[in-house]
Amino acid sequence: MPSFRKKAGGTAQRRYSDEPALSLKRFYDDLRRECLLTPCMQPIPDAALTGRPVHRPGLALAGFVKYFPRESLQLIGEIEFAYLCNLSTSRRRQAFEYLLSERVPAVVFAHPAEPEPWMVASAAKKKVALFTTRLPAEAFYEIAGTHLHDVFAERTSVHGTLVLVHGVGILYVGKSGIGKSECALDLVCKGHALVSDDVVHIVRTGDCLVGECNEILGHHMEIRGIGIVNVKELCGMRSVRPRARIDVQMELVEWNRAEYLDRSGLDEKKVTILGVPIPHLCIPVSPGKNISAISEILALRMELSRNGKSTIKEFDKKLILHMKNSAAARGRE
Amino acid sequence: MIQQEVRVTNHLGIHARPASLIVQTSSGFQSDVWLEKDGTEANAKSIMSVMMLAAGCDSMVVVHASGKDEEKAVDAIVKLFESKFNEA
Repeated sequence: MPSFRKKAGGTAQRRYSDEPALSLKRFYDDLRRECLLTPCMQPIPDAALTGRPVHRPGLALAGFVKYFPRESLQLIGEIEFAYLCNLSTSRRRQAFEYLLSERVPAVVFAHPAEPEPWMVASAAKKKVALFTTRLPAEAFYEIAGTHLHDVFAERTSVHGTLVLVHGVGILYVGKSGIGKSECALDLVCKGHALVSDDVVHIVRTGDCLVGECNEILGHHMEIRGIGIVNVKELCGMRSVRPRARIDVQMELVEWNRAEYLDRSGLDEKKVTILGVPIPHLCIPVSPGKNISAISEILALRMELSRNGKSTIKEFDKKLILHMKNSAAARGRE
Repeated sequence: MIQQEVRVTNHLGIHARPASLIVQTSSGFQSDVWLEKDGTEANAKSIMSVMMLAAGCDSMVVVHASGKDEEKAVDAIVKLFESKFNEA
């Protein structure tokens, strides 16, 4: 369980920014099955990968070494290998040893490329890891790239509850005891899906925020007065999701802060999580307020606005036109 | 109860945004606040009622309030009208 650092605004967040780089051994363990990966030397040299994407060093092998990304995993596929094979022995050695001299973390030979024995020996001397994969370069590029992206994606944890309502991911935040869990429970009973209660782990993928539940907590939630319940077990598979995109943040606030609320829905406030802005709404909680019904309406309205419709803007246009027409009628009188 | 008459001076009249401002402002007071135009009364704390008035540019609206802070409430609403709701 991560510990939380309180941030202003009542939302607790923790950044995993000091994530250590991915060691080659770990990378090998993660991908050896999926990528049919074999190390060309034992033990695997002690090096680490960074978040840089996998690189195909065609241009560097051809002699253009400006901008060469030396922190990247280098991938030699059929094309690069065919190029190397076309060179004279001495030029080939020179080209390959350039990669080693730049201290790249590792070089992967993808099917059908195979390192020649002198390449392995030379790499071992320089302590640069060589691997072969039985996948073609394009397939390896995709799998390894996705894996590195996942490992190095920006992450944070938020004290809140994530529910998928009509396909819209709503993240509830607010003070403890304000009713986030009860609202989620109500939505689950109406047939919507719980992603996570209390702790939501958020990963940024591109310009999307994806929320997941904590591995240990799973889909358990605490209902005050009853205790811990397992939603997956009680309500079945359709009531839970392992992860969901976060489309909107809903902050539940006490009613006495209500004077600051937007009443028309014209001004959309935003909150930024991991650099991604998402709509933010303040919903006052008081006796008789049915937050789950409000949530369903919000979800439907967001779907509507995704399709380019804005009720308030259309209503406003009609109202302004009406006022103009009656002013014109008065003018004629 | 106190009341004051004001003229709507912003170009577009009381459309959604000014209505929202009126409702936010009047909700900050304990008094009941009302707007009246051509004999129609609207609760100034309800955005739908305020928009229903359809008070266009140059129309006259009576603001009245009753309660502990009625004076402040009417003052605040009248100021909004005079500032043209921060619009043209």
